[in-house]
Amino acid sequence: MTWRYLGARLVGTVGTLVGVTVLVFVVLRALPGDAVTAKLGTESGVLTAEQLAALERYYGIDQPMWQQFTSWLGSLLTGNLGVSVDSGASVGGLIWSALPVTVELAVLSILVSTPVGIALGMLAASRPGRARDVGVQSFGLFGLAVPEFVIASVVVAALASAFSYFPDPGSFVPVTESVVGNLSQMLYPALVLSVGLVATIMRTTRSAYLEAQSTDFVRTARGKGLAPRRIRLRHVLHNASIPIVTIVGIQFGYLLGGTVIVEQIFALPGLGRLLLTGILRQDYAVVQSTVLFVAVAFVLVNLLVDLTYRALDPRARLR
Amino acid sequence: MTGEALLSVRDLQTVVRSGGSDVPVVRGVSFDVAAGEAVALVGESGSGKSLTALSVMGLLPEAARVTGGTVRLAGEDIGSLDEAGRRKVRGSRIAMIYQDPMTALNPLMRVGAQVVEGLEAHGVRGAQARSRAIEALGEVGLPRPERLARSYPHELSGGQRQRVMIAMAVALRPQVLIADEPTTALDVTIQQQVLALADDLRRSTGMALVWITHDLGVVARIAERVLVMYAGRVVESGVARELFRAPQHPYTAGLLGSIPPVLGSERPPLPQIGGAPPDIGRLPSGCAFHPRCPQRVATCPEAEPALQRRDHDLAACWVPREKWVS
Amino acid sequence: MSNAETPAPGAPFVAAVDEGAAPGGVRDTARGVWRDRNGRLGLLVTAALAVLALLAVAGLTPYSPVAQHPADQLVGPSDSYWFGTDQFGRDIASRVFAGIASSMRVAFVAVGIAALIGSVAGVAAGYLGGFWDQLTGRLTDVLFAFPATLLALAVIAALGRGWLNTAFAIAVVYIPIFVRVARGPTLAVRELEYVAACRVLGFSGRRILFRHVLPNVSAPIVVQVALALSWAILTEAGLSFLGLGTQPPDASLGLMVSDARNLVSTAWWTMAFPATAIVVLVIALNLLGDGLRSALDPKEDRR
Repeated sequence: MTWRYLGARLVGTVGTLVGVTVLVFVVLRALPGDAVTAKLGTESGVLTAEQLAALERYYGIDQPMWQQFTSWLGSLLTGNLGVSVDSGASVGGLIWSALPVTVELAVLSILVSTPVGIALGMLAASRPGRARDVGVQSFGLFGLAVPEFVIASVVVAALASAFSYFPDPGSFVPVTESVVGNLSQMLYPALVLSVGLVATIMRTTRSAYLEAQSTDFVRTARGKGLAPRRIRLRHVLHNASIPIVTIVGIQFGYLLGGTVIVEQIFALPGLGRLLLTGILRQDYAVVQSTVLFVAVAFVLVNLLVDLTYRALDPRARLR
Repeated sequence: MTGEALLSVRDLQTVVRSGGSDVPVVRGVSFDVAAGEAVALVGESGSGKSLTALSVMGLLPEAARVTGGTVRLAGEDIGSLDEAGRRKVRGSRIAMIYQDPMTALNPLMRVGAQVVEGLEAHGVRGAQARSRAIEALGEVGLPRPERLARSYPHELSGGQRQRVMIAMAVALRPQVLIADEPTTALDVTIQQQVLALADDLRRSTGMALVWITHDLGVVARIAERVLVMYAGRVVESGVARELFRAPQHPYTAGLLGSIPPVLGSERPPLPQIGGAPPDIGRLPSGCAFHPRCPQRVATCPEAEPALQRRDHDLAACWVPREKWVS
Repeated sequence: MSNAETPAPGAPFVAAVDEGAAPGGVRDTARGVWRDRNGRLGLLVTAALAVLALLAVAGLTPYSPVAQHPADQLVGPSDSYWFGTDQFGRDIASRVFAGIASSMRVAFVAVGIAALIGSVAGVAAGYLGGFWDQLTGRLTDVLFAFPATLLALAVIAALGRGWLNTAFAIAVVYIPIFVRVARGPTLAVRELEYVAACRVLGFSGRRILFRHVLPNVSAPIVVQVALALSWAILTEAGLSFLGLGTQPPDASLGLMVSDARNLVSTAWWTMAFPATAIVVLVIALNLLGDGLRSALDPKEDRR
């Protein structure tokens, strides 16, 4: 891959990140206006003097709007992501402890859903139009139509009656403490998230596989007298894998921002729950910094996916 | 036709499953190809020429299958072999190249590897496969084959890709090479180069060529014998020169007549074959060509004529050339 | 079908330029959707649900969605309460119909705004090119840099809760999508040689826009509308579930599911019916989208 392309792409990404930062500021600072800082007057009693000062610097209080932006930017770059008005904790710290939970959830979900999705997709593609294909595709349709919160609620209710398991924010077991304990809490939410993921991955696998199977070069391979196994692996699967890998990467990115509901229902202290609590309590520093953080992560994940795609597909390496 | 037939197709019948019923698309095609001979298979789109080739190779798509006839290669009935047996024959004794080299090559594999792959499938291993592959790439006129072998298909030009396909096909020195309109998508000058290459290979290796095309100029360039197909059947077959001089079937005459003369200031309006090729699923009764045929007589809609000896050729027509009205 | 124009004085003679028939038309599209099996099912179910919604809006539900019947709390489905009652004795059937209505209200408003702004921006970007295209491109890039749910949440955080803000949030997520959907065909048409011919012959920009760009752009937009509606229903339900969407006492399917969380093991109907309503509506809109796609793009290879 040419360095020039990489350079151009990075410049583009930086531009996008700048735009993202501006948009977050406009939406979450300028739009709500003074509502943002209103609580500083009433509930700042929780905060120490330094926390209050840090927060005021973060918001750029009493400054014209664009100076508020630069003040905010400056705070971010020096690691001051604001202070939570409710708890007094530094937002940076809150994000830092919530991040691993969400990442673990996302990774688990991808690990569970990818093999299942690919297997189902190939199953459906092996006899297109027949019963198994229709069955798998219907499952896919339902998987995407049934809302996460419905599945999650049902699962939680089932767990409650079967195992007397009630999600409770205080009893989260980090993976560092006990792997088994942690997994017993993370597995169910991961399964819930997997339903939608499996549906998407399955659909992509099916169409990628079918398309690869009916290509001219597969006919050429047959014409050369190649063994079917070789054709399936080196020609069909290899070509089909590119869109599949791409979609898995993209789904991972979406998971980073999309675990809110599951984290809420299963009481997992991840980024989604942090964000939601911030919104409900109107703790704007938390909301602003969390949204920005997740958006930046999303952009970086997408950049990674794009570069991976170009590395895998020689046709895309030019430019 | 000199010598024993190398490839012998008798009464080949193929159907395509469409909308719940089987539509016959190859309706009793027979032909022989001798070793080292160049035969052209000519016809419009829909005449069944590609499907004939795919039937011979055993490469029909899911929806199609052979329902009758035999295919013999050097006396051996390859049509009755099981899939494993056919795989052994494909690529090593009978090979095929296709119309669009861009889609016919795996975009994710280097071209050298694709040639090697074919060799390895038939028992040539490792270093020997590599060197033979590079040798084959050189034989088809590609410059610096060791370097070019490391290229991906999209990095090559259309002509180069087609040469790669030919290299892939002839690497194992097959006895028969079937070419399905390989030059249709290429520039005229490249077309000529590829034709010359194929002809050279034929002469130097004794390989038989079956060249499928709708372009009579290509036929003139490369073919010793010609088979004209219409609506799934062979309607005329004979030595190329004789066929061009005096076609025995009105369809062939129509095809030849519609070539504009290159020289001459007088340009009468081009004669056309009126009408359109029939829907293979709904053929007219009797001779499939009769609705468009200027020589049509009363017998034509009643019965489909078989190939009969007409002058130097075989033609499937009720009306001999002497009786044609102009 | 040629179209000779009387030349304006001094203007070049506008010879017959075959502008062809505008593709698709409401009746043809409807027929195409009907012919497609998925589309037909989607259309029928969506229509049926829309009828239920209209009944709710017109106040023609079996009971009032907010009326409590303390004597009949948590009654299972029966003749008097088709879908049972909730913990306040409210008729779930009536609430579900009202919930469908409010989901549809949010979805239509959201997608309407997004489609309008997005399509206009997309066509403008594609047609005018240059600076406008660049600007629109940058803006949509930034919007696309956010995961959809996150963006919706951020907008809600800024504007506050309620059904209208939810609609705005969903609209913000979908505007860049409509921009992209509208821009592509616009660019393609602009590049067509015969459009250049039209311009050489002096056809006005507006004519080109209406006669050529619009028909080509409207098909993918219509398909996208159906798909956007389906996502909007899901998202509105999710946001309401979290307490950020439609606020009580308005009935909302997501809120009903949320309220039923603790009851589902003892009173399954409190969750089953609102959840099913969401699923059915989402699937129906998806199928309708499929039907529209096959009706409006016959070239598409349907596997």
